[in-house]
Amino acid sequence: MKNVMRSIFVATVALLLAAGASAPSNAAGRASAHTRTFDGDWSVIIYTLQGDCSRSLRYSLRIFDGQIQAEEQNYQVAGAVVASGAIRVVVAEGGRSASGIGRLSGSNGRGTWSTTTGECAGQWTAVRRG
Amino acid sequence: MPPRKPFTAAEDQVAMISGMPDARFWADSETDYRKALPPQPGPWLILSSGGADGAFGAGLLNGLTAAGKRPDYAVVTGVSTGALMAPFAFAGSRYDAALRKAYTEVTAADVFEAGASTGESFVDSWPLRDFIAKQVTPALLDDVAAAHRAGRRLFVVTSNLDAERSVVWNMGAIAAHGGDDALKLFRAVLLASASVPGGFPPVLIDVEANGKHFQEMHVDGGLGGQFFVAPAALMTATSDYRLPVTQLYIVVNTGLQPSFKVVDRFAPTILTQAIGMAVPVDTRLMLSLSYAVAKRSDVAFNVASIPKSFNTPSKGPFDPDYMKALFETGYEQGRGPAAFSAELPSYPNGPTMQPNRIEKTGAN
Repeated sequence: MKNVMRSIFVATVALLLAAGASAPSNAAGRASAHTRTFDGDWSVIIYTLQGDCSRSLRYSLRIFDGQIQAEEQNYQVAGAVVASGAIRVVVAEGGRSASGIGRLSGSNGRGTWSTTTGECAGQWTAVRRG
Repeated sequence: MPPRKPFTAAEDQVAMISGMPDARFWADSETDYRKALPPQPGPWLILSSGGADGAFGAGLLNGLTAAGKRPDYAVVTGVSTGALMAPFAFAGSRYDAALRKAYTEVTAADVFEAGASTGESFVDSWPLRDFIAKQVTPALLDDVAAAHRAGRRLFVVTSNLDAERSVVWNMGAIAAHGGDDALKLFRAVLLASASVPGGFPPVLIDVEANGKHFQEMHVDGGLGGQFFVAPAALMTATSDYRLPVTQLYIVVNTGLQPSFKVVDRFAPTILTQAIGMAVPVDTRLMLSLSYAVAKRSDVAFNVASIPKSFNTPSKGPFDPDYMKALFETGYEQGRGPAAFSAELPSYPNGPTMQPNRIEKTGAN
């Protein structure tokens, strides 16, 4: 139990670092053509390939009207996906941030991510769940 | 979240699983406990809570097999991560490979999903639910059922949050019922036993009392103790209860040393560190009780715990490299001559508060 709770904490906070892995800037997203092709709930797995961040984390994101949303109150998510499936996201919290780019296709997606400071980087995959 | 169907304490007291009257009993019921025990004494294996540190116990069991020191335990009990490994330990060494795989290849992504509040918890545990469904197969259930019919017993503990009481699930009896309902309940109990309240969503379990159907809320079995040997009343220093055991083996799947951290002013962090402090304390107290019970029962007391020397860092939750290292530590301990100790783990004898003796860690 001790370690599970520790894990939960790490996940909650690490999202601030890692979750950003999957997309671009809000401004960029809004500037692009809206698409609802990818609207829905997505489960994203982040893999750290470089640095001392969590080896892998899974988190949920919702895409609505092409804009990426998250229900978490503890960090900010900004990003969008365009009709081609290109996606860009920035996640920030408490002065830390990470960004990710990649592509969605059908019910799957993949891409790369890195923290703004370059501390950690890796890949991400996504699966549509609803 | 939708409102729950109300029920009374009296109804919950007698609630049962439909069609499976022998599926469980209250952990504080001495009568039901005695009734559920195997007909013959034998070695017991007790598996504690510990999250990712369950890799230690999984490695230990594999090492015991390698050393030819793995009996068919008459009773296996599990709490939280101990519950997750208990069916494999109970079913025998042919499941060692599955146990190894589960505790060395699992990642955080296989356990939880963050980012979407469930309204009941910080994260969602659907990945763990799916992981359990893959691991707990109908074939495993058949093997557990066969061992149950042979007189052995597999117990898993959950916490009934509505009643604020621990529940012991007779997993062999559930397995012996067979069918989809048994498989579904078996998996749900394992998920509940490992669902830290607040962190993971609770598991709602369908029950029936006097013809009324409702759902109980079950969470991590560790709330009622980090491992289970016998009802608390039988474990007290004033009880004269003697365990019907030939050898008592306890595997502690959690570090017992304090873990320093400057705690962020953030609720999950504070809760995590608080639990991290409480669990080793509870574990040590329970070990002391178990030691005393074993002594008065003239039963050999054996405990295996993570060695103080283990210091591999964990890069986040369920870090496969950390878990592999811990598995190997457990494996080597299990395979070696000192897999278990007959004595309680020693308490740290900390230094006094001497301001001038603070160790400098940097250039300053």
